[in-house]
Amino acid sequence: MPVSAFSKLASAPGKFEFSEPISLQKSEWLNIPATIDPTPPLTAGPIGRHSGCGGNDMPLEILLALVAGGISVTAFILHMTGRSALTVMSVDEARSAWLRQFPEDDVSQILTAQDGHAALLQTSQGMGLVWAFGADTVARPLQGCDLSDRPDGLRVSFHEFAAPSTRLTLSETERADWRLLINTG
Amino acid sequence: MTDTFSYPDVTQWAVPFFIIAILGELAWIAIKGRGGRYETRDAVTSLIMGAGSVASGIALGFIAWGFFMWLWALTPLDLGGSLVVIAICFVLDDLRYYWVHRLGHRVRWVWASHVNHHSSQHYNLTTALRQTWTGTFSLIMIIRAPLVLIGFHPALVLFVSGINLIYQFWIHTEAIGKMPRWFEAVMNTPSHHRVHHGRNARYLDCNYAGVFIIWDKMFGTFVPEQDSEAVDYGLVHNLASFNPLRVAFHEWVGIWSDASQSGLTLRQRLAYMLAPPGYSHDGSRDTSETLKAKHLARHPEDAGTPGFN
Repeated sequence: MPVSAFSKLASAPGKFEFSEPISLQKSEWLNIPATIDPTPPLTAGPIGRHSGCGGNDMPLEILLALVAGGISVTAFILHMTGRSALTVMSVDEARSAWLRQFPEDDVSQILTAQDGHAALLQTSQGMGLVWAFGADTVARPLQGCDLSDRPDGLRVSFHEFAAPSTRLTLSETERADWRLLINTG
Repeated sequence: MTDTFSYPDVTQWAVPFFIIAILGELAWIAIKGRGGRYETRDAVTSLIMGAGSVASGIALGFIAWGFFMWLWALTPLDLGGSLVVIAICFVLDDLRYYWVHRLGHRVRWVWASHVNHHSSQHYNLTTALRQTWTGTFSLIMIIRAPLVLIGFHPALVLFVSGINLIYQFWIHTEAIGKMPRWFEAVMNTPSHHRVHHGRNARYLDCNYAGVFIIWDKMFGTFVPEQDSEAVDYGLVHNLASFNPLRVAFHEWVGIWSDASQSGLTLRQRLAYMLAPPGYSHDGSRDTSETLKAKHLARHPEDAGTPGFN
């Protein structure tokens, strides 16, 4: 194919059009005005609004309805089928959850909450906490954390943007024990 | 004969398909009792991230679009829009995706935008929609510049990128084991991409492909899924929040707090922005290299096996 077929220099202004087969004329109907389309494209996908062709986008109201409806329906179904339950940990599962995050640590003692949604661990690096995060778990060392009482337990604040705090459901006896262990650990 | 031609926004039109496929996967899991897991807040967070990504594109997409159109005005080349050109653009854009994705895991500034996609401990079709809100800030759009400069129209480049993104939707599932051997050899598949989402030391920093897995095989980053080691999904340090704002911005906040520490040299501050995730000036954190090395110290029998070559 001659080089000129790929050159914009030989083409005349016009809107973006399409035809077959490949020919010299193609560079003409592919000549796009070098102006910035005032309607921005989505970064998540392409858009075909150059040259004034803007009729291929989904109407915004339909898109919004689909997105809102899709999220709502999915959340409703998941919740009603029992998929909002917090995971419950045994001592062994709490140990595994900690080692999953900190595989080099030695865990010497584990105290699980009565509801099984959290566990305190004495490790070679100090005290740590594993707690239920939906159907999964997360783990954090407790050095530098702040504790505050709640009517049904404790709030542990970590001063970390990705792990701001967690609420532990504990009996009054448990709360006193956990507070003592965390403060002295 | 000529016809007016324009590229549809394929990701918008794919939204109904996304919803139906998610509900289909959920039904499959419920009926079969296998093939993946769903959790309400995790899934809702992923879906909100997807919606936010679209909103972010509407709000900030003009920046990338303006950049591409500026490049288009500069280049004298115009490859047109024939089917062959579209196909070539698709393949080259997939190569572009491979390198953007690889940079996204090896440069913290880009990782800050991409990390949210890996922040779920689940792996299902909603995870595919857990997309970035901050892609524009990463400036990774620059990697698309060569495609425009060699004569692919920006609209065509964005069109094939949308097809690429849609292709990657279906591979975010545990409901599909392995595809036929020939397909696994050439294409990115659920099996290959599960590995990419693993936080296991073996599976860190591999399988960056979008559509064609051949790029990983060509550039030495391919790791096959091992029957002996199930994929543990999520981040090395998993998030403890379902809040989409924290999911979207936590790594940017981390970069700021690290790079603005007192007493650092300029080089160290830049390293907190541009070095691989896990860099620390005092060596107190782990990168994927040190995580692999520590794993091998605990499990020397894994040396030389996939992911530890």
